[in-house]
Amino acid sequence: MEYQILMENLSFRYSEQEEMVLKDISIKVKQGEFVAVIGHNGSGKSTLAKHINALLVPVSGKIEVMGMDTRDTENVWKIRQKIGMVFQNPDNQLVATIVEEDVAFGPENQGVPAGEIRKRVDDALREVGLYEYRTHGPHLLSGGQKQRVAIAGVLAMQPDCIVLDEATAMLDPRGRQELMEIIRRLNKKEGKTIIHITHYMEEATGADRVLVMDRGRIVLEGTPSKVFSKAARLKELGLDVPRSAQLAIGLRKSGVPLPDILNEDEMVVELCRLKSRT
Amino acid sequence: MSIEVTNLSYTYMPGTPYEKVALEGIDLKVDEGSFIGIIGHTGSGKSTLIQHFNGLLKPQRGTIVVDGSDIWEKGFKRSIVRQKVGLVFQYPEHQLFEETVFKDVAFGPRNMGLNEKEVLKRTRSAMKMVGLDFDALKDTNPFGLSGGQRRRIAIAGVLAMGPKYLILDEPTAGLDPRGRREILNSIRDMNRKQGITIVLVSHNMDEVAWLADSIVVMERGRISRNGTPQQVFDDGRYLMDLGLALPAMSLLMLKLKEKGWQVKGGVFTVEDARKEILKNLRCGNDA
Repeated sequence: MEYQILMENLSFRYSEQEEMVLKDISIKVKQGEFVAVIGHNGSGKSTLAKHINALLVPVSGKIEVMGMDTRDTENVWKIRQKIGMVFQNPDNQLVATIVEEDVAFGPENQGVPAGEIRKRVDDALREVGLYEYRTHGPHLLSGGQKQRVAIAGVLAMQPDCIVLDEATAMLDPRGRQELMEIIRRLNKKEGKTIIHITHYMEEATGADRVLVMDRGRIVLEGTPSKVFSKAARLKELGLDVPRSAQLAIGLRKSGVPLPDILNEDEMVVELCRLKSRT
Repeated sequence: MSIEVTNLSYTYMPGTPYEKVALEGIDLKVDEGSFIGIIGHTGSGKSTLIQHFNGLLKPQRGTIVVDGSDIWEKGFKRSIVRQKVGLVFQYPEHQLFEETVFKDVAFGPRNMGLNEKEVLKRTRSAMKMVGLDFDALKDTNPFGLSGGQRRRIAIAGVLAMGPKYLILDEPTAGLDPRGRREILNSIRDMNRKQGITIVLVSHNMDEVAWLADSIVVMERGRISRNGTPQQVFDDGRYLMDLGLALPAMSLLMLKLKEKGWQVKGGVFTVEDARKEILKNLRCGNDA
C-alpha cells in the first residue's frame, strides 16, 4: 500500500437533482504527509473531508483509505478507527460532562479494555497539554482547550490520520497557535498524517503540500511556496496571500532579488542576507 | 455627540467564590463618526465593556452617557438607546429565526412600531449597506444561504433599526477570506459614507490596523493603551508580551529592528513595509 489515501476521479452530489459538489477529484496522500486544503466557502472542502472517513461515499470514482474502499460497508468501522476527524465548532463535538470521560468515549465504544483506556486517555491528555484539566467540566474550558479535548478524543482511538475541518476557525489567535503547534508535533514526532482544512493562509504555509479547491475541483496544487507565489490567481479564487508573500512579490518588482517567501521569519533571514552583501 | 464611559467597573458574581472582576475604572469616549478598534486577549473585558454601551449590562460603578444623557438615570427610556446603539454579537447568524430574509431584517423596525412603508425602506437600505441584493434575496429562506450571507443578513437586521453607533464583536470570525473582505468593506462604507460610528472588537490585527482611526488595548479589565494604529503597533513588543498578535508587517518590522535595521515604527501595510525595506537596502550599512 503505497498511499494512505487514494482518490481516483471521485465525484459527489448530495441529491440527483443537484449539480456535482465534487468533480473528478484525484488525490494521493502518503503516510505522514501534512496536506493543507484551502478554498472559499462552498468550494467543496468539507464534502471532500467527509469522504475520507466514509461519512460520505462517492457517486462515481472511488476513494481507498489504507487500501480499503469506503463504499464497502464492511470497511467503514475500520476506516473510522484509522481516520480521526475534528470539526469547526468546539461546542458541537464534546459529549461527556467530564473531560476524561469525553476522551474515553471513542476507545470505550471500540471495546478497549479498561486499563488500556485509562492509559490512552492519560497519554492523549498529556499530548495536548490538558492532563491537569482531566476532571474538569468541558464547559469551563476555552474554545481552544475544547478543540484540544476533541483532538485528545481522536488520539485515544490511535488513528493514523487526523482530518481537521476548519478546526481553528472559531479560536482566538493564542488558541489557534496552540492547536497548530500540537498538530505540527503530531505530524513530525508521531508521524500522523494531517489533512488540515483552513481559511487561514498562514496555517497552510507550514504544510508539505497545499491543495486549492474551487467549485468542486482541485485547481492548484503544490508546495506552499509554489502555490502562494500565484498571488493574482489566488485573489481570483477569493483567497488571500500571506502578507510576507505579497511583500516579496512587491520587492522583486522593485528589483530586490528575493526567492518565494511565506512568512516573516523567512523574510528576515533573506533580507539580512541581502543587506550583509551591500 | 458621543458615547462617554466614565470610571466604569463591573464584577461577575460578586460575593461568591466565582467572583471575577471584568472591568475596573474604564474611561473611554467614542466620538460620533469615529472608527474605534478594541483589541485584547480573550477574557480581557472587551465583551463586558461593549454590553454596557447600549444598556444590556448595568454598571456597578461609573456612568454611561449616550449623546448627553446618562442612560441609567431614573426615568430614562433605555429602549431609545438600544435603537441608537446597535450591537452585533459574535456569530450573529445564530440569531436568525424568520422564514424569509425580508422578515428577519424587518423584525427590528416592525417592533419599533414603524409603518410598513418605512419598514420596507429601511430593510431595503440596510440590505444594500451590507451588499445583499434585496430583490433577489428578500423572499428566500436565510437558512439555505452561505455563512457569510447569513452573517450579513444578521448585521442588516441591526442596521435596519437605524443605529447611529454600531458595535461589532468579531464580525469576521470563521469566514473565508472573501467573506471577510466583503464584510469589512461594508463596515468601512457604513462609517465613511453613512457616517455611522463603528466600534470593532477583533482579534485580527491586520483588520483593525487597516480600518480603525484609533485603537484601544484592553488588559485584565483595564484600558492599557489608547492611540492611533501607528502609536499602538509601534510598541510591538508590548502587545506580544500581552499574548496578542501583531499585523504581519508590524511583526516583520519589529524583527528587522531587533536585527539592527533602521526601520521606522508604526508600519503595518505591505506598501509602507516595502518602502522602508528599500530605503534600508539602498542606503546600505553606511547610512
